[in-house]
Amino acid sequence: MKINLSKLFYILIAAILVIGIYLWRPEKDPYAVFKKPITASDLIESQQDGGLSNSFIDKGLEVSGTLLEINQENNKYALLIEGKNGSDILCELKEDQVSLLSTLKLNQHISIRGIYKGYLKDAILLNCELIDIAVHE
Amino acid sequence: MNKYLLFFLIITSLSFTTSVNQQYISRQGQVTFFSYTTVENIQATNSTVFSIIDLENKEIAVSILMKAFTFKKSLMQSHFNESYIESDLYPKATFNGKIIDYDPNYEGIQTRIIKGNFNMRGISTEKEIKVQISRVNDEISISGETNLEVDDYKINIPPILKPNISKNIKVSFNLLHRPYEK
Repeated sequence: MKINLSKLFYILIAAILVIGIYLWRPEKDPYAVFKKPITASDLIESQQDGGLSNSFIDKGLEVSGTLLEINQENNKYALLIEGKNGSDILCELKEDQVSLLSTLKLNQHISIRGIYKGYLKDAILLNCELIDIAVHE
Repeated sequence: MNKYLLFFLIITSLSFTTSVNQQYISRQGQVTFFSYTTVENIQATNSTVFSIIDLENKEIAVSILMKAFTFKKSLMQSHFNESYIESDLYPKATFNGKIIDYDPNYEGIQTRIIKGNFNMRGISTEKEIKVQISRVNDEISISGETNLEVDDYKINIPPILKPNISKNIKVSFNLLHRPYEK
């Protein structure tokens, strides 16, 4: 009986450890999974070619292109980057990036990185961050 | 001289009316769903919903990328996409409908019914949704609420999680449309 209780105790500890490790495992950095600089027009072209961009879904992408619009709706800020053939890149910004918006100008060439989620009319990226902000002309 | 002026004014006003935009789009529409249970309340929001209104035909089409819903808990987001919605198989939900008795020229708020079909996970259901339509200058905002029954879309919830997820999901939306310049 003592031996059974002892084994049970160790099994219980092991189970708690496994569950704990699973629940509190550090989250993977989505940007570390896949990083490939790509132009906005190339991303649009790849999705319009049919499916090639599916391999990018839920991956971090660095995208560069011309800033068309800065929009705010429902307390969310998003950048619209010029794409191709009537489709653009819609990039929803992380909250800590909003303070950088004042450094941007329309038609400026910018680079952003974000998590690609797929496309509707435009390619959609979430959790976007600004990188390599170009010097104003 | 007066004849020429009158002619010029008529031509100008005609060209103005024919160039009034009949299509309005929203790229950052917001859809939020709520699941209320005694065990847990779950909420997720999607702020990149695409919507287009055709004022001439009084039609609306909405497209929702399922992977763009964000949750407070990333584990819930994973379950949502991988198990419940199966977003890899069904990446988008759509709604196509007609706005009943809508006056597109009215500046102000109208309460109307949109009748249409909502499609999710390849399953289409008819919906009638009461909406508030507000037109201010060149912006048309459509907002409202509806409910979705989980069982209608064959969403498989593991028995152990059934107490955590409501069978009836409340969905609210707010879509701000601007003229569509092609």
